[in-house]
Amino acid sequence: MVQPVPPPSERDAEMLQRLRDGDSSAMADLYDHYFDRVYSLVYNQVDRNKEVAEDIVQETFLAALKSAKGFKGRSSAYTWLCSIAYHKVADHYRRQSRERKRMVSGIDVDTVDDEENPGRQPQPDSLIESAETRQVVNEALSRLPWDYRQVLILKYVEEMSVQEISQVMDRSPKSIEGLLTRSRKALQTQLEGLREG
Amino acid sequence: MAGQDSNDRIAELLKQACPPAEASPDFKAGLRQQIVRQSAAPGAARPRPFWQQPLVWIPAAATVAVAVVLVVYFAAFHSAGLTILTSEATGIETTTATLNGNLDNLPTTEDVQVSFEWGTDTSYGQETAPKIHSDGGAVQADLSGLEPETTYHYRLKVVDDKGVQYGPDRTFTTGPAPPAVTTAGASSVGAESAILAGSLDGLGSSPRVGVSFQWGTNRSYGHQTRVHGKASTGEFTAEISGLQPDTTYHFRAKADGDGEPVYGADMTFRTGTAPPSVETRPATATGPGSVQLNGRLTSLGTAENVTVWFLWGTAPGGPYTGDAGSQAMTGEGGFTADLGGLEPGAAYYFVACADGDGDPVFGAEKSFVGPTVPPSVATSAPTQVHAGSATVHGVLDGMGTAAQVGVYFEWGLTPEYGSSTTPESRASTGAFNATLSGLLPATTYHFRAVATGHGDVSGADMTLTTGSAPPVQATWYLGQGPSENVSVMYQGDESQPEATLALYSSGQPSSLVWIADQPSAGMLYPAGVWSIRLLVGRVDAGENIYVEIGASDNTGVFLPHGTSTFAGLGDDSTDVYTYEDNITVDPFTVPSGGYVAVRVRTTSVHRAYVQVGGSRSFVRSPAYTEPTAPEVTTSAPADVTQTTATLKGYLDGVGNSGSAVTVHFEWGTSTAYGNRFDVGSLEATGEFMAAIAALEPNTTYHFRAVAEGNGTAYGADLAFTTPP
Repeated sequence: MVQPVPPPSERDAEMLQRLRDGDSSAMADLYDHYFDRVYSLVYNQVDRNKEVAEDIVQETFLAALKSAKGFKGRSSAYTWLCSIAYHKVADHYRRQSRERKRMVSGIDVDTVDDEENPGRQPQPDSLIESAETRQVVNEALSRLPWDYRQVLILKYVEEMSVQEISQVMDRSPKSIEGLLTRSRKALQTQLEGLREG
Repeated sequence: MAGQDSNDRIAELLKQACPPAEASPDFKAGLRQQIVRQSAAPGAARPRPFWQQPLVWIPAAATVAVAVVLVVYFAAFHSAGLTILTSEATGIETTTATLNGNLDNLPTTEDVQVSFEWGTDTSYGQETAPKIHSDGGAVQADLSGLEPETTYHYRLKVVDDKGVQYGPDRTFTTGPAPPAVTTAGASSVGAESAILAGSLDGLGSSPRVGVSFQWGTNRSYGHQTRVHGKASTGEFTAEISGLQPDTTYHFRAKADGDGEPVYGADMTFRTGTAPPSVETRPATATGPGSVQLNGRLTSLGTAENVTVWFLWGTAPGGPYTGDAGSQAMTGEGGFTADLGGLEPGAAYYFVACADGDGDPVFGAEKSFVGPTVPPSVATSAPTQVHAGSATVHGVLDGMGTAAQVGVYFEWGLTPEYGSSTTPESRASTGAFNATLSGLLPATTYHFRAVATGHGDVSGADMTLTTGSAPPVQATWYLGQGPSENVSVMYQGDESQPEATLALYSSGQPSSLVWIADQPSAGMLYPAGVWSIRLLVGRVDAGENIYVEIGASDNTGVFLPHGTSTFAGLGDDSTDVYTYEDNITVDPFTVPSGGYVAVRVRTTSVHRAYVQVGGSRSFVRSPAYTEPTAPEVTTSAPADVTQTTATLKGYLDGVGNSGSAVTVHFEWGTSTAYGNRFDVGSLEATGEFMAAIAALEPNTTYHFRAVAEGNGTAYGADLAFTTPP
């Protein structure tokens, strides 16, 4: 069941019209209205890396500024900004993937015999229910393919509809539904793996 | 439902894991400034298309040519405002970093001056050297001399002819200060192990630093010691083992703080050669004063040939004054050396030694005692066995290796002995004896000879049985009657006559038997020697007198067990002559009802006196008395009623118990009786009775009198019937 695309809000419509009309203050209003949400979305999509998030958010709004006049208003302003941010995040992960391939792996794992801090590892059985839930879920998220992570965050954190997500990720709603199914299953698998240690 | 629950759970977890995040206010404000500036830039804030503004496009059409020129001009040079991006810093180390920025839409006709402002807060305070840029694109500046673990703010600064523009504020944080570590050296370098030492000279930014060593046979190391956490500077060590002998090893100290690990300088050491190993085994005696020393070479180490030998001496722990058995070995195995001329009983100490291609090694010290030979001793038959004493004998057959040997006897009632005589030191072999005193009469004792020299030895166990003690006084009778008796006093002095028996035959052949006055039936008389002194007078020439020791049976027949013959005594004179002899008497038992007895026989002696003495073991003590039971009679009852009766008895004799006789009645409804009535004790003969009650009317009862003294006597069974 594909949800209908909610119409842009009145405020969105007014801001977008002002953008298309060339009102120089419209972009500032859009920035003020959506910066925090866009930043939070990007921050969670890049493993809470502050520097990377700032780079992408900066690029997102500058790109939005450039393309504002081409925006047809077929989605909400937030969905439009999310779509730009999604592609910037995708660019980031593609760059990162290329850099990783160039890197020489050399992880040195030492056995640390620290007499003063024994047993710092939490017990697996208590991982999810402990205060470290956030850390465990983040660890599970970080192990997922990046598009799995994006669709889960858009769906369950941003509470977007499948239709909205399809606009953000530029994929069909059917494709988004399949991606959501695989992503949920993958997340469950990762969480169970962490529980079992 | 389950799927919905799962979705809800995922949503809950994800929202918890991805809370709203806030950008730094400086970044947010800087980017906004950039957005606003670029939104207001010519070309960025384009007017509506003129075809959407009728009031505008008509006048504009009049000046279309000019407009075209203007449009072309703005499209070429001012179609978009200058975009200043402050990018993420790269190459961030402890004290260095590279600032990055980007210039887009830089007009081609304009040079701009580009630099970065930076500092620990948004007032910056520092600025990189300005550079002139005529083209857009990436901008970089390297920073150095930064503080570790410090957050720096920076922004790209562009100066053109219109003024100063800034990119948004960005931050970076320098890495933690690394720890400082020094490789100190190696110590206790052996063939297969060494101790590595290092020094943690600084913790850097970390509260704790993991220190370890990398080591191996080249600079690639390949091994690492266990990591230990240190919270303060100072030296640290680690022992490594399993090394190859005679091999060069590289090593370096390693410290791992919050950042990349740091290393001390590479150092080397060379392992030593492996020494052989040797064990000292217990020595084995090969003869008096000689032993074989034993050792075992358990490893040659790295040597191909190993020399082994023994060091030995008389002081524990050395110094060892002798060496023996030096030999070369090419394989593991045992080796020995013979020592002789050792002092028996002296302590000696020795160690096995081995020398490969390094320092010699020694096995553990062991000791031995110069081999000794124990003495030899035998137990001999006892003599002078009396009622309270005996003489035991032994022979020291050999001294062994000892110069002095102690000899003594162990004795007691069992082969465990329990008593011993006073030891006597002997310097040579030979017989020895000891008198045991305080023995019990008629008792068997075990004894054996013991010798103590270089070792304790003992002879075979033997036994002796002491004799019976003599009576204090006895009277001998001629025949069965007391008419010819002679009193004999035993004084314990065997030289004194103990019985003088007179024989008068008036020159006729005669044979008289004297018996002791005490019954001795069943008495065992051990083998012994009886001394006989014979006083005779008026013995016809050529006559013999025979004195015999033995027993008489209950019919008076004499049973001889030892005889002495005094032959050819007679000289027809009236003088009295004394003759003495010892009669060896075989062991014998006095038959029942018999007596120990002496018989003298002659052919024509007129008068003779025989004095009997000798061993005190031929009469037992105390005097033996044949037991005599009391006698009792059951008398007719009296005063019989339906429920009561008086029983009567008569004690006819008390026997010879020496004490009172107890009497009682047994009664019941049959001859099995079943009831008893104790009357009491009687010291003399007489009547006794008992009143019994609780009888049944018209019932017949049986009863009898019983007396208990030196034996038990029963009266006859009698019966009475109670009236109905």
